[in-house]
Amino acid sequence: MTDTEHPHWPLRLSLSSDDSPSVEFFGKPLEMMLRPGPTLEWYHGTEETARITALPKTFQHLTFLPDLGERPLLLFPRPQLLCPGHLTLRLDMALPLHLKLAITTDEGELLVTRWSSPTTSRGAYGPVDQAVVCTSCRCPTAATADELASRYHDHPVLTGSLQRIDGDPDPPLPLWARLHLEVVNTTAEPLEVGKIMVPTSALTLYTRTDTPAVATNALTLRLVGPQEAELRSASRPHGPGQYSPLDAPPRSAALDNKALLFLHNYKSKTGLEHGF
Amino acid sequence: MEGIDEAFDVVTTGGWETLKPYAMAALFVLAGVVAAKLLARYTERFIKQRHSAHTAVLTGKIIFYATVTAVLLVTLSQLGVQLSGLLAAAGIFTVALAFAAQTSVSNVISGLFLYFDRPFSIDDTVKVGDVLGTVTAIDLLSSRVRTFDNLVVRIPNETLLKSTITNYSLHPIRRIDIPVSVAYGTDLKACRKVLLDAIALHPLILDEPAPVVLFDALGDDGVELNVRAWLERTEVVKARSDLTGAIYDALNAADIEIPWPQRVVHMRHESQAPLQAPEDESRVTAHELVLEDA
Repeated sequence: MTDTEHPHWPLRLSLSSDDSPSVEFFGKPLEMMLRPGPTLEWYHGTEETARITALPKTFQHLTFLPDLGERPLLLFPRPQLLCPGHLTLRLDMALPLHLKLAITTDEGELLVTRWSSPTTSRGAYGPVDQAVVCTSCRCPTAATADELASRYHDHPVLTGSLQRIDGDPDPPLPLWARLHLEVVNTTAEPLEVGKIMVPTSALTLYTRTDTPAVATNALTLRLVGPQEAELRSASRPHGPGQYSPLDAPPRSAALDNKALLFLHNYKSKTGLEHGF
Repeated sequence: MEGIDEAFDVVTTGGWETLKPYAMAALFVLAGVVAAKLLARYTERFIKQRHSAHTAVLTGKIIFYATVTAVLLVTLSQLGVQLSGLLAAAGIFTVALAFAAQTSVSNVISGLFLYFDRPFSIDDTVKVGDVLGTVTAIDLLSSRVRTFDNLVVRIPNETLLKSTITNYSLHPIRRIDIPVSVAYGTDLKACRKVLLDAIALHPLILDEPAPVVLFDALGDDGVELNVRAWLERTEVVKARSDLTGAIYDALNAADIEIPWPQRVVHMRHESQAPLQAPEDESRVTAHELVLEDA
């Protein structure tokens, strides 16, 4: 059972032999059964995916948490961005989140597994001989958070959620985060931003204290040349409201003032990745 | 028997004092070899944590041989052997050895060049000539490659140095090319979209660099296309297989014909004018069949 009346991240579920909670996410149900041992048997979608997982003696409950994944993020804003010289563009993007399941014990949390969001794929950032493989996604983008929610309410990224489906269904917990981005063009030329590479170390997930909405800390992308940008991360999400960090441990504060310099919109030197 | 008796006499009549330095020297050499092995092993382990397996193995070998050489020199010195004379003899011996073991020496020198050139390291997937597999060892004389059907091929370092080596492990991503052929008359724009949609659904294909569908040639049997997609290098075999299947399914689902090899044959009666050619003149081939009168 949930610890609170209203669902909120993180979602915590207790297990007993006569209570098998079920949740649904990424379009499939997750069934969980407590077995002797104690062990946990679970499957996501079909029974062919079933796993038996060890549970520690000090097991308290299962914890579901949204997650950014282990790889850097390669975000493709949709629509693409174009920032004229010496101007600043402020916008909000919807970032799909993965989901991780952990076992909470007296000593802390043990990761069980992680499910990737079906709205993400893989993409390489940088020249093909030095590429960094990232989690890539097409992110719905709008001028404000409200516009983002209203305009893209049925977009696959914004419909991603986790919901209890046993008993009376709880309201869903969103599996996407709002990312506020400020693009500052320091050059005189108009520059396009087709993609943004964000190391996961630069992001922390926060949840609002009054709603289950998730947001990341705000980012600033300073375009310093046609192919160069600096990325700075703020220490909290943009906008009003109380937020508490979801990730443990939270992002290092040292990163907040550290500019991550990279080619923001890499294009091949030769254009011949696919050969002659 | 006499020899054994003499040796027994030497030992029993106080000859132990004569043998003692040699026995001690043998023990010292034995201990030295064990110590060299241990030292090499720990050094290898230490370096492997910080550098490549290649560097670790090579450093381990250098340390082992250097330690054993030092132990032998110290032992000989303790036994009263004049090292200067030995070194002079060693020079002559080396020349003789070089003539006798040209191939081995060439392999050793090639091994050193390979180390500094670094065309591959241990655990890399390489192709040397016809051999494709994973490098399991790089030794003084040769390197070993385990092929994907689990055979071990020993390749002399000299051969490696002379060969064209393809390394499949240097870069994190790779491109695969899948040739596809569709029948003449196919709507090529629609066909490209069908193929790109099929690729986009595959989770192993990178969407950056974006996959492309290129129209390669107007072939004998149909329009030849080339599907090119990028993926992580470890996923190549599975992705190629999956993607070929996905492309086949997608073309079938869209009713796009994959052509069979075909020839257009014109039949001509000897005493009559040739039969009328089909509408598509461009498909006429040089093959003509002459029908005999019955």
